[in-house]
Amino acid sequence: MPFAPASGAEILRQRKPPRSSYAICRSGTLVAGIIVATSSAAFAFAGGCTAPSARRSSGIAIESHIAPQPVRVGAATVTLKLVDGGESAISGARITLEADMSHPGMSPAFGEAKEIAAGRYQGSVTFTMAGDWVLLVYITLPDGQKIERRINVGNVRDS
Amino acid sequence: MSNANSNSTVGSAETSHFDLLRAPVVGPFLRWRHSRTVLQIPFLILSVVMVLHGLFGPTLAPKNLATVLTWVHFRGALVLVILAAGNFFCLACPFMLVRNAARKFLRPWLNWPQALRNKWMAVGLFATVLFAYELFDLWASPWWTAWLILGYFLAVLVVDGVFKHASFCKFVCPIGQFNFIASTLSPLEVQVRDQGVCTHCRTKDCIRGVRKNVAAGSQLVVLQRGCELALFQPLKVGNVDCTFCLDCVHACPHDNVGITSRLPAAELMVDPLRSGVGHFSRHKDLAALVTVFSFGALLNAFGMVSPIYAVEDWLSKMLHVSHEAPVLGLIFAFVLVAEPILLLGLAAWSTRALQGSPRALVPLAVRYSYALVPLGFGMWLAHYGFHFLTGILTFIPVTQSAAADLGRQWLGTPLWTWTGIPTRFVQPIELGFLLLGFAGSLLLTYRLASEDCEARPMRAFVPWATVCTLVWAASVWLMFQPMEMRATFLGG
Repeated sequence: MPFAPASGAEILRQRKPPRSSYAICRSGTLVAGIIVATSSAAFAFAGGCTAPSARRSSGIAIESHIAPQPVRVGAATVTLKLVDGGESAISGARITLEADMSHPGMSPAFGEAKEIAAGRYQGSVTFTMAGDWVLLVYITLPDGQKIERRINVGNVRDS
Repeated sequence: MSNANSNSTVGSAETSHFDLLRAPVVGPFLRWRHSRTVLQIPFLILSVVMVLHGLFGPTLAPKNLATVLTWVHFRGALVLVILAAGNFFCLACPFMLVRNAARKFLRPWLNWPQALRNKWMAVGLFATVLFAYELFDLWASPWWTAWLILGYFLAVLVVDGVFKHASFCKFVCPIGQFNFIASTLSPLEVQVRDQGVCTHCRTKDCIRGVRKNVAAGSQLVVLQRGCELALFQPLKVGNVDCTFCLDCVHACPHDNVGITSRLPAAELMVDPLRSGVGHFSRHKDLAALVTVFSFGALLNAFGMVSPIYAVEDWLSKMLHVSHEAPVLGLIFAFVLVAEPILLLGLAAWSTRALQGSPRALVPLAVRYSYALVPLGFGMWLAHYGFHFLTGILTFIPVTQSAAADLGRQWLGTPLWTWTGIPTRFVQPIELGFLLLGFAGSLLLTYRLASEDCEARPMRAFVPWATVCTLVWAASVWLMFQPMEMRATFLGG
């Protein structure tokens, strides 16, 4: 395939300049080297760095359980247990749930968890399709402190 | 197929054709010398925002501008703009803005190697991008998406920093190659308005550029570039390799280059000598690119539906491996290499047998492979159009959230329920794209068969129409599979 060489007149004639096989090989190696080096550098740098991790709440332990197992497309029950540093149940928290697909642009699902026993909360979210989901739990403690917990719900299966 | 016949079909615009450069408002803007830069600046700013949010923002893909704008909006808008108009995303490419700025300080000194002046490297890179997308689940990672954008900027700077002209666009850029093939179906083309004017032109500024002596005895200074992709306007046919950069428009002293309407896919029906490209029928590399473009569309969609995981599970058990790379590699090798060779080879063999002529199989397969472009583009449109339309509003809450993270509350509370058009309304549109692609491929096949075998076109048409029907049936089957998007492998 002809490509623009140095001068316009040459382009018009679409003449390929004669080159030795050594020169072609050398330039080809240079191009391949540049591409490999560039991608290796980018990958190495990216690999050497650490992606930021999800925020964790200090002093508050949150236990979660999702039913049914394995999780299937449709409604799922989310049960959460909140205890403080002294292992005491935390009552009176306000908890909202948000389920997102791993792929951007898909509809999220929302829910709210109500307290069913001291420190135990239960709510429901509907997984609308199979695949990997992420459940975001937004907790507002009675003292106004806000906690966000991310729970990976992998491999939600077709019902 | 005669070149005379071909050139009468495509290559120049009749005066009655619509010309975007003569349209009010848009025309004068595009004819303005700095229009490209003005279009590139917002995209560059957006790229910087995406990279920063990807690296330092939320790690969840649906909450991050890098992943939302790249995998939902950019891809969808790209294919829809190509379908409705032309390759305008290459026109507004932010990578070229950075490259042009860098070239003010860094002059490239080498010509692109002769041995690499073809599409083979682009074919490999295009397939590699599709492979990396599946292997690293790029859609699910703002971090990797940001690095992909940064890597692209770096690659452009390195390649075009060393090699003259638009080497990156023509021989390397996987997005550009996608756009070149897809825009063969666009209704607009940058082309000469009147061939007669070109016949009498002596300066050929559209390819050489406009140069002037600024002082006696000094070197010529380029005031306006000619085509960097070696497309000489009077001999240019179609949109392949055209980035719509409009350098030729600005360089032509006779105002004889326009962005004119034409019959989509017309350039695929003919086989003239194309400036900067050559004859389609003699390019195995271009045919390979078209094949990867078409079958890659199926593969990319296959990665988003439930059956892929059953296939991966089965293969991993057969091979006794637990890592995704070899399993995915095998699937890619089958869909992008073995399946096309089998289907196109069988069709070429059947055509030869039905025609009773001793023709070589490879040139036959190369010539007819271009008929797959509409089918492939239909699938890309259905897939990317689906994500775009069902998630068209998602950039709003993500932008609100990003502003809130920076302490700017003036955009309000993120409206996370804003997504897009419900799936039930988008599915008929998807089916429409697939049908349109199928019809386009059948028409192209018939046209090629008629030119190839005037007396008995059906003998050439039937084998290739069968291939088109099989590919289309696979596309429709894929579209009706339950979606399942995982960012993990062998999750069961």
